[in-house]
Amino acid sequence: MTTLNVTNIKHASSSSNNIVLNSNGTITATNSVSTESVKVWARFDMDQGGTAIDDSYNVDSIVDGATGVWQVVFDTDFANANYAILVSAGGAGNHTASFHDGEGNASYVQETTDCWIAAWGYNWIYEDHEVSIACFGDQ
Amino acid sequence: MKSGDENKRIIYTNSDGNVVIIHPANKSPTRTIEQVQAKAVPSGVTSYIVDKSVIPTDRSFRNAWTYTP
Repeated sequence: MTTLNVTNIKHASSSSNNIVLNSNGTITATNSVSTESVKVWARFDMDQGGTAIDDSYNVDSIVDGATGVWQVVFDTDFANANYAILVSAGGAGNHTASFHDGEGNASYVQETTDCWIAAWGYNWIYEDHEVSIACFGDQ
Repeated sequence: MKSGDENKRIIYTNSDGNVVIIHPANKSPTRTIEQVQAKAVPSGVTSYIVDKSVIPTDRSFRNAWTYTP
């Protein structure tokens, strides 16, 4: 087996390195990966048993704002408020969740630092929800 | 979160009169509850750091909750 010993990879027409192989085994790639990969994700539960954050990435906190209303506060913020948000909800019966665009309540508007989620559906008043969120955009 | 801070919550009352509860989620071992508080609580709003045991688990009347420190 042949081992290629290299630290940087650069396209012939590029003025700087496109890929850097770090000594700890990670890869730092400029441009292409950064805009296409998920920047935030979380799965959390808010029901009669209380709130539980199952797992998350790049989330600083999850905020219980009221019945069926949650805020996700990011660790690393987005560069602008035009990032895409995917939200889903599960549980017993029919559930729906979506991001809040601030219409009717400006305090719920999408910000570079955070976004709000609203959920409803069967049994929603009892918050029998498992909610997942993923965000894509520029940071 | 910094060890021990994962068991803390931050409480404030928003402009609609609802009690808002912040649950820390940061995975950095050096992130403190005070740093989470500084980022999540709106500017000029008084908030309180409490133990998570203070938060009721029965959410039947969630929107009627109030908090007095």
